Amino acid sequence: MNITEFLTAAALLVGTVVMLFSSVGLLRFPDVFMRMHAATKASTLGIGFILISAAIFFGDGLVTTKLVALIVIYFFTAPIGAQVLAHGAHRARTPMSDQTWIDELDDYETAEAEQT
Amino acid sequence: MSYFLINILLALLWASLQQFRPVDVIGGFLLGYGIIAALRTWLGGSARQYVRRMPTFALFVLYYIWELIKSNLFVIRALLRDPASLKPGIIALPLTAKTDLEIVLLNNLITFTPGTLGVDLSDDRQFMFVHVLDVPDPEALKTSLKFGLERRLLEVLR
Repeated sequence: MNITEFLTAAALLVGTVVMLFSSVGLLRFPDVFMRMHAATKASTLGIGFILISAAIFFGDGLVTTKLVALIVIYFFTAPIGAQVLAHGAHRARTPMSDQTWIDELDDYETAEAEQT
Repeated sequence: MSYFLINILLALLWASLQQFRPVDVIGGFLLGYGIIAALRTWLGGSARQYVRRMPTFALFVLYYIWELIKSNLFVIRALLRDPASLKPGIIALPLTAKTDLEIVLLNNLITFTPGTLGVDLSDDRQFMFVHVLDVPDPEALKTSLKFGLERRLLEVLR
């Protein structure tokens, strides 16, 4: 087993372990917003490590360039989806867990409704 | 920003003349940056601006990757402990960023980090509402986001 194989396996392993943790988070967190924190975690470090392992495995500039482009495209699309989901969830008044102790968006909307 | 694209094109051109290994792409990028830096007096103001910003941008990327790893570890630790001990909440982050691009990028950067999630923007663009997984001290977090991520982002963009 040479060093390239070892690095490939190690990066792949770390990526999948991070993804495993994030699915555990999906089960354990109580409300939509907190679950989305777990879901975005899988998509950042998990996918990052798996792409790095692919880049090490191929060791080829063209593949690496494509993978870097993938990360960049991913960076511009994934957060927008997450943000729209969270926005929709808050607008639909999805119940938040009882632990939520501060909601300045709700305060802001209430204050604005009182003004008009 | 167009000099950034030129720099990438120079890197790809250089790499395609070599064996197109990752080292060639990085080397080509540095070489292209060197060429633009050497010619900046003749290329004009935007080239000079690009040459000045590039190191800030590189530092920003490194800083952000570090933040990403830190917050990932934090979320993993949070879910391995009892999730019932977390104190989640939505905070209103006062914005210094003004233009569409700045706000979108800041929102992307905040949402991409686990543990913080952009939810909404106030109509007058004074506040960005961010859901945070664990926020024992909202004011401290606001300051750290403002003077950490936002200040560094604006340094790169402005």
